[in-house]
Formats: sequence, structure tokens, C-alpha cells
Amino acid sequence: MTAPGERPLVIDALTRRFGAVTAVSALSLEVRAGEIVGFLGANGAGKTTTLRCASGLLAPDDGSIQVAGADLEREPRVAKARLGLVPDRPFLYDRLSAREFLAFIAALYDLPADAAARRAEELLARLGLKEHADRTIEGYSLGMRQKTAIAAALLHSPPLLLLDEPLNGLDPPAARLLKDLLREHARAGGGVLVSTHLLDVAERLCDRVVILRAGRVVAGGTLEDLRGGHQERSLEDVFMELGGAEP
Amino acid sequence: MNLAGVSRARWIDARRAFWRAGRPRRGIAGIVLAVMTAAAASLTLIALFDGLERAGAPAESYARVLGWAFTFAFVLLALGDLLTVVSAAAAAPDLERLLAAPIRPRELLLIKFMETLPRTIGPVVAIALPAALCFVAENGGAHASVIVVALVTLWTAPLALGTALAIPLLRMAPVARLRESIALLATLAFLGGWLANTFWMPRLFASTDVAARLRAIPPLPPWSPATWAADALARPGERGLEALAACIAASVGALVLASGVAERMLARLQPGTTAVIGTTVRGTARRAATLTGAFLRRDMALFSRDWTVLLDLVARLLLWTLLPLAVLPLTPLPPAELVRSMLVTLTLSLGNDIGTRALPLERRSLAWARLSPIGGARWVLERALGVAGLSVVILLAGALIASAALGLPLSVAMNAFAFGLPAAATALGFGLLIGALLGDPDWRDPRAMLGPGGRALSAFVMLSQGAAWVGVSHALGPRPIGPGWLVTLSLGGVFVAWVLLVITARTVERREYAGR
Repeated sequence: MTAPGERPLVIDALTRRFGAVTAVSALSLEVRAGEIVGFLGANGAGKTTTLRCASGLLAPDDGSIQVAGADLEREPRVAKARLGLVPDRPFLYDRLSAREFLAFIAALYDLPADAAARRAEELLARLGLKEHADRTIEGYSLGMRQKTAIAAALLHSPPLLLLDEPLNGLDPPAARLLKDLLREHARAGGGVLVSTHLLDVAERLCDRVVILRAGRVVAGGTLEDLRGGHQERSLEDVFMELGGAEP
Repeated sequence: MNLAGVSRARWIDARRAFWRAGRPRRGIAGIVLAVMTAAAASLTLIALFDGLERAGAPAESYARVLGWAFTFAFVLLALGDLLTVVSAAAAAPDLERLLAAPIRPRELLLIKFMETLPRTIGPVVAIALPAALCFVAENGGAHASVIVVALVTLWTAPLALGTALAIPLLRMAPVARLRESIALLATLAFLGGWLANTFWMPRLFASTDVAARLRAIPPLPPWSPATWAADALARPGERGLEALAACIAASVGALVLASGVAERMLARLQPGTTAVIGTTVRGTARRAATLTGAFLRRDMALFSRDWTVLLDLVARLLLWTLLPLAVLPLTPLPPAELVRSMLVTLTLSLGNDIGTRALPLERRSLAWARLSPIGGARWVLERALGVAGLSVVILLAGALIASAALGLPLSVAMNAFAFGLPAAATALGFGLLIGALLGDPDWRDPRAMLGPGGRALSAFVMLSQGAAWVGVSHALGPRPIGPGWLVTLSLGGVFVAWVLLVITARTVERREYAGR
């Protein structure tokens, strides 16, 4: 999935402004192969902006982003082929069925027809969408839409997965399934950067956590690192101390 | 309910749609468009009333013209209001909150009326008000209060009746389906008015026997608030007073009906209970052999499954193609030139109705152009290939059908088709660019994938370039065009279209997706 020694994501000194507002300021982080990194921060901390810059949907004002060894600015097509994004609001075509949608996405990523069809069927089955896969997406529930977006992001087995609040709308079994899929992806050598408000999920799922506040990284590391030797402290305690409320 | 507090919040919300942080906002385009339409309507009506005066037409003719102008505004309002009410009542994100709030249904209705005012006042300002003012300027007589009552009737009656009808309908059909159906009806009503205007007006001014033409104006439907509003202004004495009373009764009656329906049914209206289930289609997980094939397959599915867009498109393509026939009695054209003109007006529709919608039709999923590895330029190229392929088929069919109807040989049809190709290329180029620049990804009405400003710009650009192509066709004479000119025009058309596509591609590549 990722070449030996290659890191799925390296963000260096990323800055992004919207008019007079600096959403992300000199942010640096990396996701290593086989690692699930939790991206935490209060509303407006800059998580979505960072994920959208890392996926190419927003252009950085400053800094660089490397996806599995490819620079997003200099080699955008190579870099984009190596990442999958599950946005906070999925980009779907309401009048296509999930099956048709995945076939279209396979063409965008130039996947071999047979392999793409097999992978699509496998993902539809695992995500519990198979029996709805020929229904147009306009009739899907929020959770089914989210599952379709997850299938689209995983279809080309990218070295890097970026997920923005992926558990929104998912019921407990689907949330569990997604967590299993992310662990499998990491075990296969991929990297995952997942933003979430659910601290218990981050605590149990993620190998490392990065806490963002006002567009800057205020803390990062394993849960043990963040606890600083105080085993009784939960991630919630750490988060409230470091990244809880925006200034 | 704290009416003052609610009104203040709505007022701030509405004001910010037009002006915020010292800058004009998107909503201002609607005001500009309404003023421009009002100016155009005023000029047309002044010319029409002058024509009537010169022809010594009886007072009845003035009243009928006023009545039909009011009726046109009324029909637009009736269908538009129903659409607006459906959107505001059931699709607005605040409905559940309002239903849960400790307010009475009729108070909720009042809030929704306030909310819909800016979106429903357009036909009154743009059509009915200029008609009333032009009529009074020409004939005098009506008191200002009568004009106000007439205009208020034209606004409240359709809005209240639309509300009374929408609430029960919303309990039966999914919001999306209902909105699509009403949008289509609104399109047909508009096109009907456009068609009548296009065929009738040129003949009226061209005819030497205006009085005979005017006698042919059909009488107004007697039981219509639009007729009563016109009669209140146009009829002297007791008949005018009766019409005025009818206007007031219609407004009050419609409001009482809407209030009663709201009181009985609004509280039981549960958004989402009649959700779209989705259609089962015969899909395949196997990707198309090429990227172009994948785009074509996707586009076919999107277009064919959005039947309101499809029907709207077919209606417009037909009407634009027929437009040159409307002026034929005034400016006789040789058959070959007529076919060329018909194809040029068809290309206006290709640009305005297919080109401008190609990118907004994708809504926010256009983000894949930036997210996927193919890039924005390739995306635009694939979209252009798709709409060009569809347009070539439509243009060829138009050339063959028009030529066959006029009894022209196949060679003339092919010559006209070859002339239409560069016109279509430029129209599609302009259409794609305008759609990329001014498309609304959150469109709800298939007629409004562009905002009001975008639609006005598109109409202006299409008519300008259409006029240029008709001028070229006329300058090249009544016979089929020689191969030298056809090659020159084709190269010119392709060059312009290519430049426009490059700008469109840059626009799509640079578009950012900040989320939410």
C-alpha cells in the first residue's frame, strides 16, 4: 500500500486564511504507515480546513503537503490518486444508484474494470449496502449516504485515508464496522487521519492523537504521552485542558 | 408570540440576503432583474397602449390588455407561490423547530408569509405594477388606493390559495417530487405566456387592421381575481366598485381559507414523513471502458432520471426552434435562410438550457473534479464532450425535421446543419462558462440552476451571439453557404469555443470547497 519508509501524509507548516481569518496557522503533522491518527479540536479549530487542504479541495496559502511521497502542489494527480476522503457532507449523485456511483468513481481513479467491480461488490456487502445498491441515492438515509461515501473513499485502496467526522449518522453496528475497516486499512500499511468529536472513539481507535486549537497544533502524541504519566487522566481531561474552548 | 421580535429577526435575515458587511449580496441580482423586467414591461405596455390609441380602439380593449397582463402575473404568482410555499413550508430547516415552538398554526403561517414575501413579490413588481401604472397614465381615473388594493389582491390571493393547497399536498407527496412537478407547471405557464406574446405582439404591430386584431383578444375569465383587479382599475362607476369589493373579498377569503387549513392541518404536517424512497435502477458495478464512456453513462442517467429537467429542456428546445416562424409574416425569409435561422435559435437553447446547466446539474459533487486525480480541465472537457454530443444529435434532428417540413432537399439540410455547428459550439462554450461562474449548486428549481443574475447574463449573451449568427446568415444570402465560408465559420466557432472552455476549466480548477 505504502512504499517502505514512505509516510502516507506529511504536512509541513500549512497555513490557510479566509479573508482576515487565519483558519490554520503553520500546522505540521504526519501520519505514518499503519497508523490511525485522531484529529481533535473544538468547533472552528481548523480540522475540516486541514483535511480539505490535505485532500486538495482547498489550496494552502503557505506550507507543503506530501501524500505517500507525492507533493500535492507539484504532482497533484499522483497525490490525489493516493488518498481517499470521506467529507463531512458526502459528494454523491442523488440520481445514481450506489453501484453506478462506485463504477463512476472507479473510472475517475482509472481502476481496472474487473478488479474495481469486485472491490465495489465487496465493499457494498461489508457495509450492508448490497440490497440497496440498485436504488437511487436520493432515497438513502444519512447513514447509508455516509456508507456510500466510505465505500467510494476505500474503493481504490489508497495509502492515505482522510475522514471528517465519519461516524455522523452511523448506527452502532455501522460505527463498529467502520472502526474495523479503519484498523484493517492501517494493518495493511495504510495511514488514517480521522477528525472526530467523540473522544472515547479517539481514545479506543487511534494510535496517536493531535489536538488543534485556533488553527495550531497544541498537543500530539500517544495517549500515554498526553497523559504525562498521570494514568487517571482521560483524553477528555487532556482535551479540556489543551483544546477545549476556542479563545 | 412576540411578533415584533420575530419580524425583526426575519427583517435582518432578509436584509442580509441583499446587503451585508458593506457589500451587495446575491439577492441584489433579483432586485436588479425585477427592475429591468419592470422597465421592459413598461416600454412594451406604453407602446401597446399607444398603438391602441392610434387605432382608435374602444376602452374595452385597454381593459382587456390590462386584464391579460394581470392574469399573466397572477398565473406566475399562483404557480410560483405554490412552489415557494412548498419550499418554505416543508423544505426549510426551521420548520421542525417552528412546529415544536409554542405558537399557533396561524402564527406559524404568518411567519412563513413574511419569509416568502421577497420571493413572491417579483411578478407584482415586474409585471402587474408597470401594467397598472401604464394603464392609469394612458387612461387616468383610478385612485391610488384602488391600485394598491388591486396589487395586494394579486399578491395575497395566489399566495394564500397556494398555501391552502400546498399544506394538504405536502401530506400526500414527497416534498422533492411536489416541488419538481410545480416547477414544471411554472415553466409551462411561463412558456405559454412567452409563446402567446411572441406570436401575437409582432402581428399586432405589423397589421394594418389593428382593431380587427384587438377584437380577437379573448375575453378575460370572469371568476378570476386578476379580472376583478383589472376591472377595479378600468371600469367606471358601480361596476368598478363591485370589482373592488370582489378583490377585497377574494383576498380576505383566501387568507381565511389558508388560515383555516393551517389551523387544522399544519400541526400534523411532519417533515420527512413523505420522503423520497428512491427508484430501483438496473445498475452495474462494472466501470465503463473509457473515462468518456463513464461520463456519458453517468450524464445519461442524471438527465434521464431528472424528468423535470428533461421536460423543461424539451419544451424550451422546441419553442426556441420555432421562434423564427413567429417573425415570418413580418420578415419573409427564403427557405434555406429560414432553416439556418431556426437552427441558430435552437443553438441559443442548447447554450442557455444545456450548456449552462451541465456543471450546476452536478451540485456539490462537482468537488470530485478537484478531489479525483483527473483534474478540473479533463472534467470540463468530458462535460463538454457530453453536451456537444447531445447537441449535435439535436441539431441534426432539427435540421432534418425543419428541412423536411419546408420541403427542402437533404443537401440544404446538411448545409444548414454545418452552419449551425459553429453557432452551437460558441453557445455551448458560453453556456458552460456561465454555468461554472454563476451556477447555484443548491438549486431546487430546475429552471433556476443559475441565480437571477446568471439567468439574465445568460439570456443577454445567448441573444447577442444568436443575433450575430443570424446576421452572418443573412449577410451570406438566401442560398446554401459555400464550403469556404463554412470552413472559415467552423474554425472561428471552434476557436472561440476552445478559448471559452479553457477559461471554464480554470474556473473549475480554482474553485475551492471549504465545507458546510
